[in-house]
Amino acid sequence: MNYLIVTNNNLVAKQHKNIRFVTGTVDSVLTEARDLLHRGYGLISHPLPASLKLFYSPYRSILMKAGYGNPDAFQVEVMENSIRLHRKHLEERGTDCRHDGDYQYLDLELLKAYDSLISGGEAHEVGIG
Amino acid sequence: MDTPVRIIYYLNQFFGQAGGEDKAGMEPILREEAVGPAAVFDGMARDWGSVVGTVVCGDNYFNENKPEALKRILEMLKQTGAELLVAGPAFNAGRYGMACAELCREAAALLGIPAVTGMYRENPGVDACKKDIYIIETGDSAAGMKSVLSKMAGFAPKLLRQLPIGTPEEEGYIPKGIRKTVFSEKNGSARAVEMLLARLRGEAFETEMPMADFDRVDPAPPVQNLASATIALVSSGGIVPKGNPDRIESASATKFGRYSLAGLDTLDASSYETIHGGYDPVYANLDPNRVVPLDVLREMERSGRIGKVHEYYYATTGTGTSVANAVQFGKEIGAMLQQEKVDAVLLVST
Amino acid sequence: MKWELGKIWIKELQFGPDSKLDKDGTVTLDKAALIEKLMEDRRIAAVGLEIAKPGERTRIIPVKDVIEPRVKVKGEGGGFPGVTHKIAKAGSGRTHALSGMAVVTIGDIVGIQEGIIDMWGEGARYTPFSRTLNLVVDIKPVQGLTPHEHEEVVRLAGLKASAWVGALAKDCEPDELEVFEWGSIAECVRKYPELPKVVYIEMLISQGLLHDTYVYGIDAKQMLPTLFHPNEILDGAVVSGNCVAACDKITTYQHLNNSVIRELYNKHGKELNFLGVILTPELVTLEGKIRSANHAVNLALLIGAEGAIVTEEGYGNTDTDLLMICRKLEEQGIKAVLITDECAGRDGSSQPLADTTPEAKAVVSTGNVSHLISLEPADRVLGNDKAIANLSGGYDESLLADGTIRCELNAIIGSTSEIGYFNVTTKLY
Repeated sequence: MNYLIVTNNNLVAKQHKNIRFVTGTVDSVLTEARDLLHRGYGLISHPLPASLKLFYSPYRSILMKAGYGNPDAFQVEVMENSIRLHRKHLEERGTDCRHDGDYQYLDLELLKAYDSLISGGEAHEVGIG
Repeated sequence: MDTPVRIIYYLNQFFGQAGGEDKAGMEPILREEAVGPAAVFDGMARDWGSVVGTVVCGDNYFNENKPEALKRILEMLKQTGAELLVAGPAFNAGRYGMACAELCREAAALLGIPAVTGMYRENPGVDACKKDIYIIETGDSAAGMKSVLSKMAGFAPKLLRQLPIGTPEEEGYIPKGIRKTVFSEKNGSARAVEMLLARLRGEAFETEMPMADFDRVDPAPPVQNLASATIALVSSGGIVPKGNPDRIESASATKFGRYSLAGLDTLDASSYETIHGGYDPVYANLDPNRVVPLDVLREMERSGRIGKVHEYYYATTGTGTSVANAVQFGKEIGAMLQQEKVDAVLLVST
Repeated sequence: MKWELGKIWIKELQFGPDSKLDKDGTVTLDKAALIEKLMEDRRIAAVGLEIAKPGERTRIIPVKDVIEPRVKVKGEGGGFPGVTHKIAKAGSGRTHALSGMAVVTIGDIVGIQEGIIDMWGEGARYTPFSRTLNLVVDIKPVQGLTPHEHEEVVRLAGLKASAWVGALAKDCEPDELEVFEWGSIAECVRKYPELPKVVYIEMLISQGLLHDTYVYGIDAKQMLPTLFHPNEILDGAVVSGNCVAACDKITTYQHLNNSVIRELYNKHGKELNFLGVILTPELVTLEGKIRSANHAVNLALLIGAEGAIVTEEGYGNTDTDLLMICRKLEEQGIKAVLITDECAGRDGSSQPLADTTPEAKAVVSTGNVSHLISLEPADRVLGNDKAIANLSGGYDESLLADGTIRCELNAIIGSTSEIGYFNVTTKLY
């Protein structure tokens, strides 16, 4: 599968192939994923975490795949809702930078849920618009 | 007994007995007596307060000269030593509601004077201030004036004495949209099973988390052949011929205008302007085509991409306009467009 | 299937030379013996045991899981089948429980964990576990473990400790005996043809480290939604491995005492016809979410449900699952009531859910996780008191000069339980 990991996490970038590295905040990662969604990539993972605590993490990795063609309306809705919600939470309480290492590690760990999807993936050139 | 609380009452030209729509432009005046509803309120507040003055202001004056109107009325509040501001009730009157809302909010925020007003749920003034002040809920017409005033008079002392305020149902105010975390008698599971049983039996039930209520409109089917279609321009961005011939309000519109585009290639800044009070008008005034893109449509017409541009455009102001008014405009404009055999409409948001 | 739960009311908890359970409800624990038992796991370097009682100015942090001590006295299986004991079917025979007591595990697996139990004051009002006599188990692992192994060590130690303590009740005469008898769906429908048929869909967090749930020892990420007999869950089929979302995670204690199942049981045969429980995993992929929702709803449809209670675990991406399940249920004509907490911002003025759908007509709210509360300074902190600083997350005003903590409800264990275990809700003002 032609997958792509959009991430701002160095640890993920070091250990995985097919990285679209984003220098910046989680907001930048979400925005990049949103843009890719409109350029033919599809969302594999939901862009949000499953607990409030992780909304304050400085790291996020989003798994996408190539070859979707026109963006799927459901995915666009999920993506836009996610960006809106992420911003809402950060407005209230900024990113938690004190546990940088823990968050970085947890972000890497949570990617393991996709092991079966990405372990067999061939490395491919990531060049988008 | 304590000295009675000094109450200042705010009314528009109509309830302030100055006149009808012809007096909507009147500047605020302070009358050192209780006028109309203020007099009724005064009677109801007898035990704790007294209306020492009534401010009367025209609805159009307030909405079209907001900073000046607010400044002058707040000054009146200071001069009279107001300890409580009561405004309205405005029922479903949009401009009046906006005035009550803005004035109450500013009086509370800038002067620290507790303020209470009354409105119908759909009055645009509600959304403008419900977060900040208490609005006693009214019906949509002035028929229930007396009972609303009595609710307002019962509620005001709680605000003044900073007593605990009950739930919206208990007190009669429109929910401020604040979700307070409280303890419940039954646990969540028990409440859920009860709610489900009520649903299954077809009985009334009340959700604990109302979802945002969007009025969803199905999109129209795509235009089959643009090259032969007549396209109309409709805008809630307030672009009108200079001088605003139909006197469309800059906020809380009660009407829309229909203007000819015959012989025009573009909306020239010398002849068109925006009267919209809800966005920075600079760029729309520099080039009105930014809101009503006649220039681009004319190009497309010439190149044959679209059939033709409809010879009229329709305009109103979206900001503060009540949903009910907007629905009405939509129906009327839609009917005209249908009659005029328009195939598609370009709606530019602002 | 018939299962009996014999409750022994525990009134006092203390350490002493011999472990025993007296007739007056006093539990005495031989500290050294329990430590020795837990140290059988060679991945543990040290075990700390403490007691925390209601009313004491004691703070427990960061809490990983809460477990009710129990023992199987009759019938198949024991403990947590597939996890602490050999695999067996749970939910029949008889189990004894030390009611009013809990084993609380604490462990700083990664630095960002929250999870407070205050045994007194304001904090105590917001958690059901301030009302239990708590045996606090603090596990220090050997060096070099991965966080996954560390998590597992702490999880298993808690379950083992609860089984060890629970064993004291093996030969006791229970103070109260509850009977849970429920045959087959066909039988229920035959018996109560006029009652509305109701299913419970329980969503389980299943996303990875510190966000997992185990069903008969299986990582829930690997399962499709499956139909369970309600007794199985009350008797230990489900174990929590989730310890980030303190306020709305389902602790193992709450799985064992699932209040939705109990409530449906109470009304079964009287006001409704309880058809069983569908456990469904909350996955990370969008496809996984759609698959789970489809399958859970399909099961509900196949067994003829007319109504469903749906409960969530977590917040954020899991709201998508909740509302998808709701939408699909309603589309199929199955009436749904959802239980969820909300995130309406500190002042309670934001939109409460991450997602909305008009089909979510009937929702029970178990409180705003962003609601701010103040916790007085404690006399005794069990666990890692440095973890208190972690609560502050990104806001520095949380730790006041006198030691008072201002934190969100989010940090308090079980405060906004999304299975509706607790008595917190929100009201619109």
